[in-house]
Amino acid sequence: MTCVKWLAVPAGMFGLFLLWLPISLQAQLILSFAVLGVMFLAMTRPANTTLRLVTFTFAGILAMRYAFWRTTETLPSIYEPLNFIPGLILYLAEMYCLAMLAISFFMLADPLKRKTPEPGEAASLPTVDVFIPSYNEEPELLAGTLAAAKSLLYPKDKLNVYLLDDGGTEAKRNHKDPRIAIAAIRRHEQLKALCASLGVHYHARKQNDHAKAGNLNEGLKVSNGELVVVFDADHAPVREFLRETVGFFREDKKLFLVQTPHYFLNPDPLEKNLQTFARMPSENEMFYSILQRGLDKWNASFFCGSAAVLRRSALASANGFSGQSITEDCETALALHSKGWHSIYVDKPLIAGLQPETFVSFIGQRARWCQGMLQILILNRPFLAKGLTLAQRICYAGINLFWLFPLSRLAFVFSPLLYIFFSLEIYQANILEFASYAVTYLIGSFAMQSYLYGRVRWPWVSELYEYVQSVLLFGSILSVIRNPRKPTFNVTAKGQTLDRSTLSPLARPYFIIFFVLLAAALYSGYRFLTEPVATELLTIVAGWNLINLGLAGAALGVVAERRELRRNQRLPVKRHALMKIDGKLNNIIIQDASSGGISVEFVDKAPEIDLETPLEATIQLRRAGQIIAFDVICRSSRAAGEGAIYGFAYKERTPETFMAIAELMFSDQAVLQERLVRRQVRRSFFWGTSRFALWSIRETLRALQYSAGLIRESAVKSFADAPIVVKENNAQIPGRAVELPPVLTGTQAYG
Amino acid sequence: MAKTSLLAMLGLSILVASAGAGRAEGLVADSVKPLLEGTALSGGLLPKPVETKKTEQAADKNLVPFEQSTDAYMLAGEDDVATFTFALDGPQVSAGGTLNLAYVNAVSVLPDTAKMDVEVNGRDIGSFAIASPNGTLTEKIAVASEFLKAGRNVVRLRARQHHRVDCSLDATYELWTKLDPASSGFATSAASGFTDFDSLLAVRRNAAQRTDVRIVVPGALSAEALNELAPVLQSLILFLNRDDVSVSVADKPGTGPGIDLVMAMDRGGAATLSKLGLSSAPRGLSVQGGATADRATVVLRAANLNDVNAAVLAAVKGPLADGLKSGIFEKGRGVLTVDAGERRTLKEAGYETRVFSGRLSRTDFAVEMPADFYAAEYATLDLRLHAATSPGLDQTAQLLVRVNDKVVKSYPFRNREGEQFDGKRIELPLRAFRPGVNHVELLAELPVAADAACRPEERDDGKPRFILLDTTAIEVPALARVGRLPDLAALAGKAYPYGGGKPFDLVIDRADSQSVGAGLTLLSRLALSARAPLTAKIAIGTPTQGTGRDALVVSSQNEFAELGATDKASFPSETDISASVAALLEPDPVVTASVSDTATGNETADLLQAFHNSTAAGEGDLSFGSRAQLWLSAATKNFGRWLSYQGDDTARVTPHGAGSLVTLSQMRSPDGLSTWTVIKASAPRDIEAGVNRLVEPAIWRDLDGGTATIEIASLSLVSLPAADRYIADLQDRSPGNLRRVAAAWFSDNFQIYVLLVLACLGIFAVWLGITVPRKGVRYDR
Repeated sequence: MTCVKWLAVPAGMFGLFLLWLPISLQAQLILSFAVLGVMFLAMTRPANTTLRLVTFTFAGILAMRYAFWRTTETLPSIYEPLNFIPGLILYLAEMYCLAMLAISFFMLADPLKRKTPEPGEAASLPTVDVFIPSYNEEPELLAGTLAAAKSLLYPKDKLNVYLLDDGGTEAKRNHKDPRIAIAAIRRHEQLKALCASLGVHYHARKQNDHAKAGNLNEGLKVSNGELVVVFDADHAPVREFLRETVGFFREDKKLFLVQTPHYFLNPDPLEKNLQTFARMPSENEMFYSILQRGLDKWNASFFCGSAAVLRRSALASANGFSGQSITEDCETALALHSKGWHSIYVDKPLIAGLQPETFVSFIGQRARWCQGMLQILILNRPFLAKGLTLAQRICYAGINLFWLFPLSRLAFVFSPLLYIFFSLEIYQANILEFASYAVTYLIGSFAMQSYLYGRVRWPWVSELYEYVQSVLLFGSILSVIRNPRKPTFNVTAKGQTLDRSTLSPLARPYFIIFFVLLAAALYSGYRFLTEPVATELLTIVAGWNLINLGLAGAALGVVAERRELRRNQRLPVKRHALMKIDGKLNNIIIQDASSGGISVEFVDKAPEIDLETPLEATIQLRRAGQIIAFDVICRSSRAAGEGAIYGFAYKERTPETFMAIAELMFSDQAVLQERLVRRQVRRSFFWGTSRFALWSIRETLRALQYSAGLIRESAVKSFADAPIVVKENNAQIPGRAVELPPVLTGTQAYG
Repeated sequence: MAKTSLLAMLGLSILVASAGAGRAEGLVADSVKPLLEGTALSGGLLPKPVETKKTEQAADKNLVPFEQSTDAYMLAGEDDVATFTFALDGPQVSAGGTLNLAYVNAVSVLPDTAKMDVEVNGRDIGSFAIASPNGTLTEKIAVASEFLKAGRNVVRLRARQHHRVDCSLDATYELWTKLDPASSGFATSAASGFTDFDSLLAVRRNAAQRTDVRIVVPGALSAEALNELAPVLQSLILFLNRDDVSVSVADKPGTGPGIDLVMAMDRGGAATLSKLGLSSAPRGLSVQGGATADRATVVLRAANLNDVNAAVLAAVKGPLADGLKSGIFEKGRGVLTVDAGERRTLKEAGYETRVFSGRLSRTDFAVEMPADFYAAEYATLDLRLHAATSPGLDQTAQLLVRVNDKVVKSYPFRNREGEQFDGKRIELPLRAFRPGVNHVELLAELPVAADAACRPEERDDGKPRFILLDTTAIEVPALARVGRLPDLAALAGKAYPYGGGKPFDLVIDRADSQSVGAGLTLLSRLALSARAPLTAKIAIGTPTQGTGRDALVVSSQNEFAELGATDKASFPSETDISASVAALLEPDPVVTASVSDTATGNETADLLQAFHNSTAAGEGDLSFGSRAQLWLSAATKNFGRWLSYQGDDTARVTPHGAGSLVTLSQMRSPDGLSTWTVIKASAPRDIEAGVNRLVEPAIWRDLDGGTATIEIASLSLVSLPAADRYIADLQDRSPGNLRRVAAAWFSDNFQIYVLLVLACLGIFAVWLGITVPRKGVRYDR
């Protein structure tokens, strides 16, 4: 191996020297073709790590040649500031992308797939404290999560569940605004009762210091388990969660973290408004299915705030959870990695959560992530942090630097306009050079995108997500750069509904940009027709602007929000149960379940059901010889094949009902896994491009229709969810109803 | 003896005959012909032969000619400037005289607005209307003595002319005014004989429009004699600074205008001098009148080579100094000699800022690149444009930059409201340049909407459209410096590899006067290119190997060896002469194919191609499939050309194989230690005629590649690229230079480059692929 090294390293150095030569276009073009050829060949065996690295190296050749050419030949003269300044900005944006490409190659050099170790004898298992921090989200959301946490497969004496309620702190209960104080007192009482009935520890601290990190640290003080599990209020775990994670801690004494992916039951605004949910992989799958596995290779997979198991002693060594930045999770992981602790990532969906439904809350969440990550970049300087390995430094720097993407994306959107409208030549190249360097590099990078992320990301979707966030995150970045300590924790709103389709309140800048790009596209067409000599550069720039226009058009669709009436996210469970109607047992299959109700298919002939006089029944589930029963009431029916599917709501929701819901929804990890795998299908570039083009046109038209107020929607009759009944103190917590869209009330949850 | 001069005259007359029968046709320089023939509207543009008034020419015995050679006498386009010099002595200055400008102009020139401005030594002395389309007209402008100075005087002519009926850009190529070199010059009222070196500068040209220098060497043409005369000749040529000199060797003086250089060495020179009536000539170098008033004699009396060198040195430091300074070493005559990292303005090339009010502004200058410069894509030569356009230009307005007759860059003037450029960078590809002299033209195409209609009432030819400032500059990047030979462009432009003081051998295979004359003509021309005398050691015979010395070889292939070597040159018999003449006049067998850009050199293939061309259907008649096929094949062909670095406008002229007058080729010597440049012909007279043709400015300027031949039939130059180049010299071994050289070489040999990159980084990638799984967290742990 050593002798191979002595050959390979000088060969690599000589290769780099060759790439650094200012060669002719002819040489470049042939080199590009040859490199692409090798790359495509190596891509045919994605499972082979050696060929994977060959692919990376050859993609790197194209990128390096492009960077070299871009640096040495395309920058405008410094003596032409009108060209030079925007030219330099665009250049820096591109160099940023190239740096990110290099870092991502490093991160993804060899992603790991972990095998779950045996958890060990029950007696030897460590004690576990489950923390569910909450701020002020609805009790029913919490009830589901608490019930699921209580249902975790683990020795009961070794498992303690804590609801850490920041909405009912002493400070809140004694707030000078009596309305806030009363709401806090009511919430405090209700949750306390709910926890008591579920066997969960309720804890509300005195002050709301340091937001979520402070709350978790408070949890550490009131508990003493060896391991700490954190679930967000909306993150309900499957029963196997601890089985899949705790075993790792026995194997590695320096292990501080086992992180698992966040799996979401509901669509984000893009998925909802472009109607891609359940067909297209979710945005976070790229991170959880690919990137975290890559980071794991370099012992750099990090804490994502929820769905993770941490070692108390490790946390203690770093004085608990870090709270300097507003992304306490990543900061905590950075602190512990710096102290030599290890982390592990398990690529199995073990929790089901919610993501922000409305565009406003989506942007709010992203702004927090973006600002928090940049805070870490500026305040913690991961690349220089002591105690990290070089690989960890690169990984952390990459993760944090990623959040500068809005700057580069906006530079790409606005640069073409400078040429189209003002003939500023900020990118000095002719079409032949562009073809030899830029086009081949772009082909290479699209191919790499498909190679690395094709399974979890359709073509152009990354660009769309980036653009959609960039427009509003730009200001957040400037603010955090100006004052890195200023941003404060804002809680992401979840579980919201929209009773009618409408434009998002944030839509205005997207429309403005769209119309500016449209004007540029039309003007470039005019220039094509009238200017015989300008066509070469104009071809490049106009084409580029057209892609931007497509992005801006599709983004209009994202901010034109379709209505969302579903309050409770369903999970298809396909489970056999018995339904007792008037004392008679019927065999049924529960098709799907949510925290509001279930869909039922009768195995035999369905009984007569009249929706006018609602049918009441009891459902019996069996598990390990025990019967779990709850009452339901029929609300709807729809035809499905030969039979019909009936919608039943829970009649009332007691803590037992929630335990039954947890049993129904979260007893089988395979349900989540199957849903995830089903949509992870690789799509070709051409398929993706045509799909994207379709969106651009369709969504632009839809958004314009919304903006003109041409929405025809009929009112939908809906029933309120059953109230939550806690028998011990007869507390009644009203169920959710459409009359109170939380987007208007401002209810929020951690996320 | 009579035979020699007879032959020389014969050769010259053949040259004259083949170059063009009438005087007026000679008015269009050979260098311009391709340009005119190449333009779409060139039909009938060549001026018709016009009878000139011979009496007028003959009358002016006191005419001091301009020093510039024939192809400088053309003022083309709408606004052109030509600069000439002439030399006067003190009495001539005091007497004053008239500036005679004999010219003829194109019929297309609109007489109402055409005007020639004349400046002498930077001061206006008047102007005249350009209005002589039907024959040569001599304008005589009196120049008072205060405008003149002793030594070289500079005349600057600026012709502004517009087309009669056509306002298109192409039509501007039909505009020209041509001066007659024979009857233009400065007519002094004071006759002056040849008394000193400065007076030699006023020597007139012979009938062939060449400056004739005859070396008179008594006795055998031995290597010793040649080595003695070489420094004198070269110094004289440098002093004259004329690029149209033809050198001949004989044992008696020549006739007609010219200079005789009499070599009178002590070993037998006295007899010669007395025979010529020059016994009174002092020792060292001196100037005397010749047999006729228009012929000068330079006499050298010395004992040996050392003596010669001392005499030359004394002359160069003394009487020749001023002439050298104002001649060969004078800057700003349209040439920018550049080196890596330098910035040179147009002002340094003698350009003066002027407001341009026509449609096509043409500004040209020469850029002399270093001889060991490697042209490739590792950098660009930047033009820093300082200029402004006026409002109202058409959208097609643009600046074109042509380098060595190829358009290498176009820069559109986009702003229709007028635009100012303060050092706008326009990148010119280095590959368009070559070592030595490069011809750069800045063409500003400046149409306005009204040009399309060209209505006389709307025309305003005086309205300015463009101004090019003399601060416009070129910036030379760091260059790859490696002497790669063969390269005839470097030879022609910089006398590379013979210049620069490195001793070399000039080997002439036969000691006949023609071969020697050819060798000395070539040596003189190279000295002029190097701007310094060359340290040549002349030898008769064949070049010797193993010495490591470069050699310039003049070879006439010993065709007449059987005649036996005599003390003097070997002469062919009368029949040989007629046979050779016949060969010279042999018509070109495939003249039609030779001008086609697809000529293959293969007669059958050419004829077949011509047949296909003539019978090809119009594009409109073709089916879609055929059209797509045609387009595809054209695209493939263009791509192939591009890949091999050939421009798409390369109309390659291929030699016909049979019938080259001389062949100039450069090669590595058989021992691989040195470079030989061989000029070869089949007979001594051919080599003389060939070299004389080769050194004509228009031909010499175009020398390129590894081999150049002068074809017998057309006397045109055919340059063949070097098949394989070798490194003759690498002085700068700094990492920067080596990197540039590597970049240039890999660009030329990109197959090797691509394979190397794939191999090196492939090995590295595989190693990485094996190493990475062993690093970080491992599966197997």
